[in-house]
Amino acid sequence: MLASLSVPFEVMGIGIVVSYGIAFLIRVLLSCIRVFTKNQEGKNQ
Amino acid sequence: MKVLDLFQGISTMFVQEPEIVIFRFVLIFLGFLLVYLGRKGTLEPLIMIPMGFGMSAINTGVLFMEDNQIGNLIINPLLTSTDDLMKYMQINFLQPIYTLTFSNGLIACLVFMGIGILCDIGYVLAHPFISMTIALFAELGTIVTYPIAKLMGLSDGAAAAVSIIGGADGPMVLFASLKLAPEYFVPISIVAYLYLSLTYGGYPYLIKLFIPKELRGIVIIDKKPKHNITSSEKLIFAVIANAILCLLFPVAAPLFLSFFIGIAIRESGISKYIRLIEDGFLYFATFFLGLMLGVLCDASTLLNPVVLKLLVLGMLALALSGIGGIIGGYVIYVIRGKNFNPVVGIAGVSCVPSTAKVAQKEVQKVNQASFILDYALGANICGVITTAIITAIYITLLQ
Repeated sequence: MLASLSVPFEVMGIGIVVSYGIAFLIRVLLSCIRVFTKNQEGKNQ
Repeated sequence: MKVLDLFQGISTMFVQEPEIVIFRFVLIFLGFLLVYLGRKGTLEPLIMIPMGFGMSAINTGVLFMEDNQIGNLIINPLLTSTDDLMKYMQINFLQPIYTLTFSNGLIACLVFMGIGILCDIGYVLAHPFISMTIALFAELGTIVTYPIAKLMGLSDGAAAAVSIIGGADGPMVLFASLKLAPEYFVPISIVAYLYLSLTYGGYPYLIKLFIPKELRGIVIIDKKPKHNITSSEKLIFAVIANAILCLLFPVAAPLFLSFFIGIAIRESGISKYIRLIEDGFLYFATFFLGLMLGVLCDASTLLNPVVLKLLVLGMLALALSGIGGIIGGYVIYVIRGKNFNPVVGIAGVSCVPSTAKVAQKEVQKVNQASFILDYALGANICGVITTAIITAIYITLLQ
């Protein structure tokens, strides 16, 4: 019984890490894309 | 031939247990009520009108089958052997739809593809940390309901499946209950969809109860200049997030694939696929989902003491998630130095786009100039993603 009650804590812990990981991924991706786009624009000019 | 033998829907009532007969009547009238409430707009008509029809038909259209067994010509959800499945697919008219689209989760994935087509992921990309924080708080019901369900005597799988109702995402509940508690798949799905229709009516009261009027009218001021999120950025995110989430949680890969392919098609602007998924798949799946949930409401299947527990736990999960979302709204309100409307929090409950619309409506009742829909939709779509992640973790840990 007690072992199964630890399940929600595991779910919550992993859920927080993965969800914020996705949010962090968004930030990194957008930054990379913007840097890449600026470089491309610079080269074209 | 006796008159009653001619009308088997009635004569079966004389040989069934009295409680089943009473429950049949209750469900027949509940079916009528669902059609009425769907027509009136109190409940979601796209689901409730076919569901109400199905519910009354399955409990009226009862007849004597071979060996004097009582059954119907619509569906038998309890078949397990391949021989029986093949036989009944040629007898029951909805058996092929149930066996080939429902019990393998295909219908949930089709709905998810449709949700992907409808979602503008740009709202999430604009404020990823705010949206994700609110969505995580709005998972309170999916986490807290689990130990309560366990204390009420449910198995691990059933407790997790009923907790997922707190995520307020119908296809996800279908998928989770199929994987974790197939024996309660029917009642959990029915409870989930009944309650999800009620969020539109119930959540405004939750907002009024927990957020004072002066806070409901707050106008959010964006201090940073807005950067337009392009379709290419959204597409790149969809491709990478799909690959990462499928890699981490292969058990929920069908759900992630369906959702992100919907987003990818939308952002690629493939109009023929957009029309196919939005007008074809989504409405096909929604119609049959409603009808199937109705015909699964057979009195003899639902007359189970566990159903009462599921009714209580489902309601609790949704209420807790709503409260959790509001707490998340308050947390962002404090972090951003009061430059945030806590009503956005309720939109973290991922009933796309109902809860976002509820949030905007409640805010505009207090202050016409307050526009929170972009933040609300961001939290709303993040709610879909976090619920899919939570579902995947439950399945991975418990299956």
